Amino acid sequence: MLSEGVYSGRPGTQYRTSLSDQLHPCVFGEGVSGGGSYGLGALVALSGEQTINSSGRATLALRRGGDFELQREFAGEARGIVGSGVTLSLFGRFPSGNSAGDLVRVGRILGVSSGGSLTWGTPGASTLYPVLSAFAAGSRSLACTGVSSSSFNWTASADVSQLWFVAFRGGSS
Amino acid sequence: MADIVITSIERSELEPGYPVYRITYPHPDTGEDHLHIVPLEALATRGELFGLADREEVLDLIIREAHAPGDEVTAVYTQAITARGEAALQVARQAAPVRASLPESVALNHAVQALDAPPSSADELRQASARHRVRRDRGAWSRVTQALAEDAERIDWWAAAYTADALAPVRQVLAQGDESDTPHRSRLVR
Repeated sequence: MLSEGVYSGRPGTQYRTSLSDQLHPCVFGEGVSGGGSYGLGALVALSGEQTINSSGRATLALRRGGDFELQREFAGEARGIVGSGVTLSLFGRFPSGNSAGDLVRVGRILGVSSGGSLTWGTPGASTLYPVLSAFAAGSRSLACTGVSSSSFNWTASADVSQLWFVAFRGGSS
Repeated sequence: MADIVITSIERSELEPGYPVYRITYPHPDTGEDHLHIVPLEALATRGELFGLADREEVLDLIIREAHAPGDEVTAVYTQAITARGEAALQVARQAAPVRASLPESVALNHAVQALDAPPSSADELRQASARHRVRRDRGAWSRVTQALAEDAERIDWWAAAYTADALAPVRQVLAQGDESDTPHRSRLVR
């Protein structure tokens, strides 16, 4: 429904749900009447929120001039994507566990011997190719010696204190 | 066939709240010290994926497959993951048109049964990993047995989470009615 006040006095389109949330999902164009905090001329879409500016919502804001954001608001640490000028900022954490379709997996292993294997908690639907880096007091040569959708192997020229990895999922499936 | 003899197993965390076993053994081909990180989640997911209830066998396979040709292992996993997902979605597609008269819980129960029903790829995985053998009669395997028994409930929790993850697209299909395409695919192609 069209409303003169979908969020804090802003006119726009509201999608009423049967929930008793203070904020229902809505879309509006940011003008002076709303205070302009999303940037004058911005197209903004908000998810519902149980308690406004308190319990958490997802916000999409497309700003005049090309800046944009897709992020969680008002609920703990930042999580989202923000484009400002030429800067693209990503906020959030990589999960501890994985899903079969993950494009990227990131992590580190502490106290690593010169050779080893990491089995993925959740196997991928296709091969995961890791990029490895070692943290050690001296120089080390490091190599990935085996990959599959289920695990990868490495060897180092000597023990390392930390092994870092970024793995990308490839293959045709 | 080269033997793998476990020398130690320790509990640790890869990240806070993400439990893993740190298992050591001489590399079966080179004899060098080898550290194998195995998340508890891995034991749960392989058990579910290949229909294996014996977690000692699951860990045995996990250790051996890490030293098998990667392409062969990946082929087995791709087949198993695809079959598992399709089996549950097939149930959902059949249930979606009559969802008004069929409680979602009933459809989800059928989907859970379907997750267990696809032809198991366990034999293919055993075959791909057959170049090595884990010696359960030597080394520290008795401590492995003990750790798996002590952590059985935690591994069960990860198995439940894996099943719940597989049911997420099923719920979407049920919610969308009789649309026949998978939710993931239809969303990406648009």
